[in-house]
Amino acid sequence: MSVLLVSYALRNNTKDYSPLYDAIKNHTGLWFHYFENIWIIESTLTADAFAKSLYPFIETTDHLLVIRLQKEYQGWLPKEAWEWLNNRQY
Amino acid sequence: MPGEMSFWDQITRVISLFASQEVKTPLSFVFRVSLYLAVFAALALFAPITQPFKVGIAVCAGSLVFLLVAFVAVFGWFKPTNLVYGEAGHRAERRLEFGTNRRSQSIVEIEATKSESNKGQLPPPEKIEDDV
Repeated sequence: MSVLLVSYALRNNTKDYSPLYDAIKNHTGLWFHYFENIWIIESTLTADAFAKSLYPFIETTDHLLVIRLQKEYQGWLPKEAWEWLNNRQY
Repeated sequence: MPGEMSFWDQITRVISLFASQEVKTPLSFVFRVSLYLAVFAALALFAPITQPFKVGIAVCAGSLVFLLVAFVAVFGWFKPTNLVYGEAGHRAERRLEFGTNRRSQSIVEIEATKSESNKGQLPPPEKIEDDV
């Protein structure tokens, strides 16, 4: 398993991006969404494979970034968020 | 007298009822159609047409209103939320969840939650010795 950070800039205001959100959330069912345009998920895929799986849900004018996370992070978040992050398999 | 509507305000208020405001839910559509039917029937009563024709219009308008009421009653009994389902409801349903799969929270709830540094993940900081 790996932990992937997914970030995007969705520029088409008239498009319904719900399928993209559903694809991210339902990929493994393990999701973290504490920031507007950032998700963290646990996945068996590589960053490359997961990003490509999301291409059908975005447009060429959108931006998408998927990064594999390592177990080194720090910040300012609610306790529940830290608990979720600390219990992942990196 | 403060608060009392002037004659002109009353006129504009009545006219605004017929203004083309966007209908956003099925129930508001029914209200709008019922209003138009009532106005149409009332105008027909004073129109220079024959009495049987007036009666026909009144019966048709009344029947349509009755059908609408019956239609709304059926939906009100079985699926009342469908009557007021509109753009706002749809957006509220499709609103993005925040939090994690363990517990989803509204963005307002997250913003109100006290944050902290991650105390459980990183090992204690090592003492860094300067190279001599």
